[in-house]
Amino acid sequence: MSDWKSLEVFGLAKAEKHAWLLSELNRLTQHHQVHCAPYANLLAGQGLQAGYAESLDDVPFVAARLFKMLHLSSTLPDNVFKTLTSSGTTSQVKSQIVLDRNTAALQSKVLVSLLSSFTGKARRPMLIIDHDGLTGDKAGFSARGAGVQGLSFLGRDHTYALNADMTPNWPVIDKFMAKYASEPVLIFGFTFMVWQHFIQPLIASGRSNQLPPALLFHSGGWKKLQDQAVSNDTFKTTVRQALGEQVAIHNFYGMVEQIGSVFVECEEGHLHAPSYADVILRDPETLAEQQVGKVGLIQVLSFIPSSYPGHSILTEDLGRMLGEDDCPCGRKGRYFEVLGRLPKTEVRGCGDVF
Amino acid sequence: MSSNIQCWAGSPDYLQWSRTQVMPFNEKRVQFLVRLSEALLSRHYSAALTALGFWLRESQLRQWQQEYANDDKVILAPVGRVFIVSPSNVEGLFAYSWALSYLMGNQTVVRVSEQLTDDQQTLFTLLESLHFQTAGLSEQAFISYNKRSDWTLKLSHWCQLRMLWSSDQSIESIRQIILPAQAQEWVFPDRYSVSVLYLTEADVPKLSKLAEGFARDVSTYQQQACASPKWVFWYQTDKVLQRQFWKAVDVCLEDVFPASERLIASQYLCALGGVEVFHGNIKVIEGSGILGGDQHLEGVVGQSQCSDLAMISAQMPNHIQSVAAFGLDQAAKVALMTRSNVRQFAQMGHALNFDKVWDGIDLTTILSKKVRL
Repeated sequence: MSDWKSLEVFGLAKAEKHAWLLSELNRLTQHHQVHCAPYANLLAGQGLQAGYAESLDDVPFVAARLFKMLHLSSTLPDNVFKTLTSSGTTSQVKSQIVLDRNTAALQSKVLVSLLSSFTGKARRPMLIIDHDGLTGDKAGFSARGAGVQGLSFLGRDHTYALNADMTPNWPVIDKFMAKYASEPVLIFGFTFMVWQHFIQPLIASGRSNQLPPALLFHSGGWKKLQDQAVSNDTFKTTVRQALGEQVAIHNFYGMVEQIGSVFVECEEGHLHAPSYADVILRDPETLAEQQVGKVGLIQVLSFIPSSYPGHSILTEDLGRMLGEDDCPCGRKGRYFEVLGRLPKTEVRGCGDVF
Repeated sequence: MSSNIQCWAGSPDYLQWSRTQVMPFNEKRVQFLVRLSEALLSRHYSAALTALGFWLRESQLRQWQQEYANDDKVILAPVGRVFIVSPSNVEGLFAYSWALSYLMGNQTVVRVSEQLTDDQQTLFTLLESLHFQTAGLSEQAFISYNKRSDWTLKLSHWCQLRMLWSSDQSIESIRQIILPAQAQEWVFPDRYSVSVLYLTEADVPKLSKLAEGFARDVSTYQQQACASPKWVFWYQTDKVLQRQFWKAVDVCLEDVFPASERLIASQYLCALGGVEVFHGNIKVIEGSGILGGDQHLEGVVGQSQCSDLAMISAQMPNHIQSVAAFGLDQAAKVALMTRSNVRQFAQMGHALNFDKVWDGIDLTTILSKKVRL
């Protein structure tokens, strides 16, 4: 693996970035072909060559749902450090992502490097919009727990804002707000939980404008908020009303299948691919790469996964490519937006009546 | 908890019905089904509803009536109270088993999924309007309820025959609810279906017709029915002919299966050791034997090459149901069924056509009793 640490997080322009990432991805395709038999079968069965992709578009991809249907591991059972599972809210069957120590460590390091380009090097006091009790069991680790643990490296004085029943823990929140009223703090939570269990109760209880220099990272999908007709703009406006006009708010797009290399929203409201990862949009019908401006299925690429063949995954999310290297925020790389899940006719098994 | 019950058609007072006195092929009931059939065939309903209308045409009902005519030794009588649990993947299936139960003179309660499909809505509206005109459903009910309620328990104690069309898992869960000793039970669990094709040069002129039939079998219910063919065994068939067949099938399946589903299905079967040999509107994966039989895949068919019938029967899983066949004579079919659990054969294009003998069971027989005189 070439040294990713020397790369500027959002500093590589197209040619340089593609060259670096392509060689990493080709290396990983070959690695997984050797170490994961079902993946090798998949390549062979589809007539795909491992490691000879000439462009990012050519890198073989695995359909995300396969992680729910198969145990895909490129590491020996003895080396499994923990297994991540998806939240499983929209489907009964959960993804199983096998991590060894190297992949888990790389995930954390990349995530910290990436997000600290927004927060700065110094660790900030951190308010976590969740309850304390998600990260205990390594064997069955949820996406929520992994997210909280991953981001906790960016903070200090980690304070959990919620009780186990999801109600705000007011004494703890009030204490945190009083202590850090004028310091740049970090807040992290899953989008819906931030909205439902923190911002709404905060407004309802008359607490407002108490953390003006805060930075809020949130992630985890918009479906529940769309159901309540809450757009990203409404979300931001309301959060600023509750916490302060100067609050920086960054959504990010990521998934349990590729923890670490997330796509963070910039000041312009665009999701950005960092140097370590990329995104390709594919026509939902032909699966051909889509041009800028077109809607397509989101494929995510990352140099991180070595313990499972997840370096190139075709998701079931729809998005739109907005551009490359030319976002007004100044960051290089591709930028895009996420439009939600691919609508699909639900496959119903014989037993659904029960 | 006995709340959350919804009655879509018929009479909601089933727990109060007194003993039925209706006999099999009761003329009023035959007439009700004839009117239902005519209504379904008189307008442009979906293919599934039209098929139901055709199945219940009067000439068919009269033919059955003759087939089951009483003689001086045995008289046919209803079972009595029948409780049918229907699956949600084949939303029209309940109508067939209900129609047979109804025709046999039974009181019937049918449980359907709480989320009605458009076809189900249409059918219930039609049944309600016929019921309004004829009171023909006074001892029938079509209901939904929450699975956590105790209605399955109540109805299991109410019925004399419990008929479950469901997944293995759901059947096992319902079986936790004890059925009284005097009641019977018939189950229709998870099944897997295949196609066995034996083509020669002489069949080339028939190829497009055959392909059309196969495409109909896989596109109906998006391959999710137990009788939908999911694997093709090629029996002594030239590979050039196979390719011609798939090209002809491909033409009939435009826009049927979403690309992402085809990709997932194909990648899954390849990961298990298959090789993609055809890709288009449907993908074909070759394997030495059946792969991925426990997943609900869409837009993919597996295939294996077989030089003798023993090889094919050895590949059949225990829960094999239908074989949509071409080119097999009766001796070949008998050879296949004696060495496997095959429960029915179908012509190409007719794999999903319901028959009163289904899954190896004569439904009219189990929905009635034969009283010796």
